[in-house]
Amino acid sequence: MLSLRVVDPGRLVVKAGTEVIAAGALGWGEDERLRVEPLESWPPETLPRVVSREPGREEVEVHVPVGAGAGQLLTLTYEWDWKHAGKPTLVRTWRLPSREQDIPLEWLGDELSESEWEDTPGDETDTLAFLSLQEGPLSVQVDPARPDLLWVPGYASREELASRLLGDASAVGAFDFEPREAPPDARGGPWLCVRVRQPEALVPELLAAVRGALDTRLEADVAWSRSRLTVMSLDRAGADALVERALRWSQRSDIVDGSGQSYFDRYLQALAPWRDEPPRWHLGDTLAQDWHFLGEASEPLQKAIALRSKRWKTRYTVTDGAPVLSPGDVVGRFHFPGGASVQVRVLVPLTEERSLERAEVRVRNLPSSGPRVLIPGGDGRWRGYSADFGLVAGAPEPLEHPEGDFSWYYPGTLLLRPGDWRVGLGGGTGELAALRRALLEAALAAATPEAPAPLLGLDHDVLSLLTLDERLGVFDTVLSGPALTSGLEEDAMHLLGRVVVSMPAGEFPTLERALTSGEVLEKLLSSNAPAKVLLGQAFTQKALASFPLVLASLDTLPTFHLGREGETAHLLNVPMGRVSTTLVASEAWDPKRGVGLGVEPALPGETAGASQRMALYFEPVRHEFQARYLSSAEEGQRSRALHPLEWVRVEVHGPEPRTHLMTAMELALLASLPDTSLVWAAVGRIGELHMVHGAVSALARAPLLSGVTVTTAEGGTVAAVHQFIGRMSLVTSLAVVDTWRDELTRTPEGRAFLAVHDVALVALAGRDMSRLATSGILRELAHRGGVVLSQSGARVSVGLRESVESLQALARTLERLLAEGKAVATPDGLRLSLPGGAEAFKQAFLAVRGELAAARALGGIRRAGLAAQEAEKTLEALKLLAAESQELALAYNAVARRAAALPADKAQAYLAAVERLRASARSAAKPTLAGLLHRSGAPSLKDPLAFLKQAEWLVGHPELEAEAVAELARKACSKRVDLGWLRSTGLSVEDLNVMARDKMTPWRLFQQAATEPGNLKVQLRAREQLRGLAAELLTERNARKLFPGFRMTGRQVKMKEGHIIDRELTSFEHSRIRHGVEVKGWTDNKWRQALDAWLAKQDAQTLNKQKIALVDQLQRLLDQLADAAKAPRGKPFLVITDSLSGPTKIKLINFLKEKAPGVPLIQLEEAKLLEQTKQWRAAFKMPEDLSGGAL
Amino acid sequence: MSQWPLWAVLAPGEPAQLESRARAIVMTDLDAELGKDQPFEVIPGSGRYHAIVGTDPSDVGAEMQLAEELSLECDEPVYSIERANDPWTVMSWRKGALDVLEDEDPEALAESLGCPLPGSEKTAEPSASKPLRTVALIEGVRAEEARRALEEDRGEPLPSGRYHLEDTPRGLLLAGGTGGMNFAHITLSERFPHATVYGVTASPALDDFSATVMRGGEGIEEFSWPPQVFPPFPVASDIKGERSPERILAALGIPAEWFLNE
Repeated sequence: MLSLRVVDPGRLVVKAGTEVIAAGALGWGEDERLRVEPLESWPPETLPRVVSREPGREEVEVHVPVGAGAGQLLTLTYEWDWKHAGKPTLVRTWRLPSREQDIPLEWLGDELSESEWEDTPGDETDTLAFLSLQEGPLSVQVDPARPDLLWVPGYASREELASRLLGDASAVGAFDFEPREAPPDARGGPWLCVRVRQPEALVPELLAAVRGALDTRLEADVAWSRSRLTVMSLDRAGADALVERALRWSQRSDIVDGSGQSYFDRYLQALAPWRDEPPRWHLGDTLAQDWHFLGEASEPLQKAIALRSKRWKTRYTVTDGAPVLSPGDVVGRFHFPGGASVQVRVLVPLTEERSLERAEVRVRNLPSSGPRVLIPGGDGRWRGYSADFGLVAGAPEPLEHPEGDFSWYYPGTLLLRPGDWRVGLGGGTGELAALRRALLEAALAAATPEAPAPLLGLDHDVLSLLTLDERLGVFDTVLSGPALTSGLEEDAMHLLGRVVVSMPAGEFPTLERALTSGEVLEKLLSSNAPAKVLLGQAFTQKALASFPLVLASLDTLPTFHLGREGETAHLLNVPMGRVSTTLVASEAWDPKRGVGLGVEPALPGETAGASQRMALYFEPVRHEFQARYLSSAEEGQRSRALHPLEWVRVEVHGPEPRTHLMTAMELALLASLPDTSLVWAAVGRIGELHMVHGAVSALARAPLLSGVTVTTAEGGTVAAVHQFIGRMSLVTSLAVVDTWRDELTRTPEGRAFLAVHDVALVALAGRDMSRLATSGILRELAHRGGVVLSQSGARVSVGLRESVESLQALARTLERLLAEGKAVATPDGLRLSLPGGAEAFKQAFLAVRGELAAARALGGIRRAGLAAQEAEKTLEALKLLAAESQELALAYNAVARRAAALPADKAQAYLAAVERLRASARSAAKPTLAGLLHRSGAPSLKDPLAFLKQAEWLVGHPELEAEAVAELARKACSKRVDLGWLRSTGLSVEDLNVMARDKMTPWRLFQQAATEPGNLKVQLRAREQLRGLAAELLTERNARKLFPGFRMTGRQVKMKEGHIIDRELTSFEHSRIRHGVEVKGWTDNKWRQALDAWLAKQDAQTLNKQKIALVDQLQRLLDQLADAAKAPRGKPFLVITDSLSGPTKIKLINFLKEKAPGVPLIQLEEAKLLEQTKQWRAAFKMPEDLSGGAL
Repeated sequence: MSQWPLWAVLAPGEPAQLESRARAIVMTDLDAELGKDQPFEVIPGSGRYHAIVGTDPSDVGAEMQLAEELSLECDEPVYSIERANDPWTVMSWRKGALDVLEDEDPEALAESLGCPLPGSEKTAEPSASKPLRTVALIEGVRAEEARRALEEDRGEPLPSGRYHLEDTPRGLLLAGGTGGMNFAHITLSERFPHATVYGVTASPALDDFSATVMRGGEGIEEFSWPPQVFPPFPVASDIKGERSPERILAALGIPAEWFLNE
């Protein structure tokens, strides 16, 4: 199989020998997704298979039939299209095996990774996302279609989002997640959709982005709306569509543009001329302004204008109750994607409060289960109402259409959807905490086992205030009454799940005892509420956070099967029974042993020694469904007794098989759903739930670490950052891997890896790094990652390999640092005792990451039968260097990964070139090695060997000064100088040193001039700049003579106000006063013209563009000199040519006397200046004769 | 970024997208991995164009690199501005091909595209504390001759009060009127090559003083107080036998109060 990443559009043809095995045109459609279409000459059967259309991860694959073209060449040609049309066709060839055997996957895959198709920075960013994310701002994207919505990374906590979006980490309630499914054109993931309640509160940068996107959208919508308005007669559907678009803009009435006008008013303003034009005018001005020509459809728009527009008025009268809305008042509309819409009416008032926060807490914690709205009244109070869509039977339910849009008439309206629980919001402080406490106490007092309803609406914020006893009381209330067998069953079970999710991990062991006691367990297992799955997951998550759960190898875990495979359904019976166990006193407990039957930690107050506890058993049941015969059930062997906290492995069968790890209790709750359809639905949602409750929601309670201002009890800011690194790096790394879930689920190895990955996420959701560190999960994660990569070989996509390898490296780094005592896991995260802290952690990770890639590279070389000793030595030497600095660790990492991605022979050659570079570097050039090596490993570099060859010349040049080498290396790495071209010039070493040392040398302009001898304007500009450089060179070269009593001490020095001065001198005198030196290579002609232009300006004459430019240059010179003259520096010097005519010279001197008094004028020999410039022109192969005249 | 940008790129598009592209183009992989700050800032404009600006001299050249790459991705021109080297360079880029825009004012260009460059450069403070003025004595030339010569040079009549011309027994006294001296004495020295011109530039307190003797538009010698370390002309130890500013002015018949700035 040939896997190909598609970066640019083109026409692909793959031939095995002479046989075409694949052909297709690859491009992007209007939806900006990859499209593969047949080429005219080839049948559709030869189309390459699309593996991924995901933007940024576009991939196709070509099946190479076994034996096709045996012994001949496999040839890939790619003719570039669109903007790359005309670029030479990409051709890649491989020798096909001569006999019938599989193509050696490692070289086939690797060769492709060398191709330009994979030349994307994405390979790098995947790996390093986790390292940079905690330092860079979270990525936020404005939804182009709905610019009032933002897309944010799913792994970010509410605090991080609040900090990023609003600049205030405590504003966790100032935005809401919207249940939209389709992410925008965003790479990576997962992404969540966020609506900020008050867009004007966004940080300026994001507000500007939102406004920018709104401007673009407005333009498009206005054009669309105008086109509708010009139609002679709008039908009802057309009018509805127009009103819907206008209502969408009405929702932006609280966002103002730069001029202070709301976007709603702007939209209306843009339409006003069209609205009032024929054929509307015959309705009369007033009627047109009232949008009466839209007929009945106009009513919602008139109401929106009345309630949301500041500028526009209609004759519409709002008849809703005020300030308290009356039942039946219409407060908004829901627009289905197809164009239909329904009203949103308020039913009964639920609460009235003085603030949104208080009203929201009250309404969110009410038992009511339908949609609710919070609306500010005109009297400054907030009111909550139950809401209704007035649907007739069979009508579509708005809340089941997340892709639709609500529009609200009253600004500030907030919809609370049923089941919109806010995981991650704690009890808060101050009056809100008191309000929550009051609500909790009222619910606890009112609820009884027979009528538990007052408890059923409580959200996580209120439930997080439960004391241990109250929590047990809630379980008692729910479990001792008929709730679990009544119509409240689902709500009651969900409440128990929320109670567990919101509780402190430290209190879980006591609850665990209660939950797994015989009576409670029996009730839980016999419930048919799907929310048992949530309770089970919460159980595993809290167990991970509070018990030392040790994960051994997946291969040794009890494995069970669930799901349906063809006609066979896998189910489990879940009997239970009391068994013996031993409680071990906490001081004698060895956490490394984990928890199991026979030995488990005693809780405070429990007596150590022999005890009894309930154990779980699992009996596999295979149901065979046969069309013609009765179905049959076959029961398998009952499992051994399992402690509810033991790990089990679950293989889920079905169209998308998966593997999961969970506690036996979680499996028992899942498998004991009597309704098999619910089991299928539940297992189908496990992965998704893990994401919701593991990676996203529960992580919302991640340590608050916005920026570096957070302090912790011990160690302050630094400690906090260190803890953050260990935890967040793992979270984000896991999140990156998660984006490859689909690909991973295709193989058993991938599924096993994902199972451990998911458990690691759940463990991290519990925030406790120490539990994770001692659980063995990281070790198993690293192991499973290795298995995925080695088993999948080249079939695995480059992106996945990078992600998994990064995670593997991270897990190993954490394990290694913990084992070496360089890091200590604490309940809050990871504390590093490494010198250099977080940076050292990063360095250690990079070294491990490099080791993994190095092993892969060496493996490839050996498998190809090539000698690997030299390559091994090189990589070993780089590994040693990696310990010296983070830059070198990154370089090692980049080189190893590049080598691993190359075919064996090329990898060998590449590493040999790396070795030559390393060996040839003079000691003064060593500091540049990290950058050059790293650049050679960058996937975006087309020809690393050529680059290394030039770099070798640079670092090994015996006469180049260290400063010049460093500057050239830096510029070569950032593509600002082409070393190959530079070598081809005739510059002398001395000149090269001078020019290279100058940070501002415009190499690109000179190269441009060299390659475009006929471009007069470029030639003139380059000549003028060369003359300036020559003047600087001569100034420096003749400094002793020109500035007796001074020595040159600086180049391109920034002055106080930011002006750059060419050189700096220091006096030999005791005072050591520094003086700036501004060197102007202007000719006599230019000085004369400039001074004349200045004179003309003083005489208020009209200046042409050229004269204005000259005056500006003189003014800038004065500015530079004034800046350079500021204390503590002495008066600056001005260096000019000595060829000025008498009058020009005396004018200049007079000019300086008046405008820059005390600035000495130093003169350079014009002849030498001309000679130097000419010499350089020759060196750069610039033409000598120009029709525009030489300078 | 409050500082005056040394280089800038004016490009159409969406600011966030431009920033991300610019980062990918300009930053080395190593810089990015080390989490270094991006060496530029994107200043959103009010229209299609936005400015990408940088202040670090080490990054000069990035503007061409960015403009070239970005121009490949759009149909409109992308502009690069480099103000680190003299002369400033403004280029227009289309599909990777450049055109040098002669005498284009970067600020005006940016303004016209709706994305003014930030942090206007500090202009030299007017030397309020020590303003120097120039007054000249021109021997052997009458006021009327001088006026005619200056008008010929200018190509139009001198506005009233433009210069102060006064015939004295020692010669013509010339001072700048409404627009300053503006090299008028040098012009007259060129026009009357045999006349000796004494150009005196001094501060109001005469503590910064120089008297340049010129003939035929050339500097012959110069008396300076305090003496200059790097004199531009041969040093005169006296002017008309006098060695102090006050006495030199008296010898030339130039009233000292003419150097006071009202």
